[in-house]
Amino acid sequence: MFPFLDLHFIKIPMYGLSIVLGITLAVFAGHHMCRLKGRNFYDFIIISTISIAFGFIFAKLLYILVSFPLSQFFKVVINTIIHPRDAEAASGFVFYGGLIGGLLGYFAGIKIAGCKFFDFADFYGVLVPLIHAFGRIGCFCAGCCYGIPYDGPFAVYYKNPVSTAPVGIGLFPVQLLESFLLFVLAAVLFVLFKKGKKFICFVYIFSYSIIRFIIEFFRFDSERGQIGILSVSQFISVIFFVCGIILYAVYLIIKKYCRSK
Amino acid sequence: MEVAVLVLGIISLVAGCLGPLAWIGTICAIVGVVLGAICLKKNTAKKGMAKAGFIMSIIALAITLIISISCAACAHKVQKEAKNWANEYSEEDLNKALEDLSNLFSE
Repeated sequence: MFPFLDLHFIKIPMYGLSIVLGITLAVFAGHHMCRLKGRNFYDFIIISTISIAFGFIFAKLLYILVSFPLSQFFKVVINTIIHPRDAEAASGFVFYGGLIGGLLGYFAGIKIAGCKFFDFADFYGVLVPLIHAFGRIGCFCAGCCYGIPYDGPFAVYYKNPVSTAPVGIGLFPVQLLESFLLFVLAAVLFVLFKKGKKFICFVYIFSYSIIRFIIEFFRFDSERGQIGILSVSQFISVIFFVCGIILYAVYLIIKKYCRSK
Repeated sequence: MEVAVLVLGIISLVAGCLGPLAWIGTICAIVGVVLGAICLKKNTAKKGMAKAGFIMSIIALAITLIISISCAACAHKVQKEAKNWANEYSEEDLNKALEDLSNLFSE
């Protein structure tokens, strides 16, 4: 749609700009949330930076894993490190890889900052969907992660050949739908956070895995991998949902046990 | 540590603006932001240096993110086109096209 923001003297790519805008807004929101909960803002910055770094690395690794044959995995990873701007290496990220990497980065971050696990966990339950919503607007502008062919109301017709979406065919605006749902989710979770509710990160994992599972039926980009009848993202959605339930159940059991003692 | 933060900030900003070295800038910027935040949290004596390095690292991180992620989106298109070409045309067709092209240039 609009892959670049043309300022005459410079062309700014919309995909990167959307994500950076999302991260900037998330930092401001994080600052506000730190004041609300009396946390140190610099701890938040340390944990966030490490999580984002891990997130991008794992998003790329999962993309390579699902997009290339398993035998070529190490070859493509090495190629990505040596030639980061090569077409094969530079293309694509998978969000769930980013989420898994972000979680590992969070563990590393709380160790470095010297915090407890639940000090900042709920912050990211609100901020991750906010950044992701901006990322999907970037997808819409760049023309990736596009929807199924569709001619009804709000159908999108890509005209720019730079976009990865098929040109001139009516497509379902799945990126904008997901972005809208993520904005709503972030707003709802922020209200819950402000009210002092706990375990917002679990609510995010449950909600997003359901949203993503349904959204995947409306996506049409063929590059992503399949596991049986499910796409890789749907498969990970199911795993996240089940893991979320198990973790929450374990927490409730431990809490009950501690109370009875 | 404050000096290291300042140096990392300068390196990341310079490398971030140079296209092929953007990934070095990204790594320096990430380390710079983390170390800068640690310095500012500890409220050390050379706070000004740490603050300058911290801000430069943040700006460099934003620039390199915009460059490298956009690069990913563009390269995705190139890869897709290459796959389509490989599916659509046989190796013989491509060799013949290359021969025709070289003949054309020699003429």
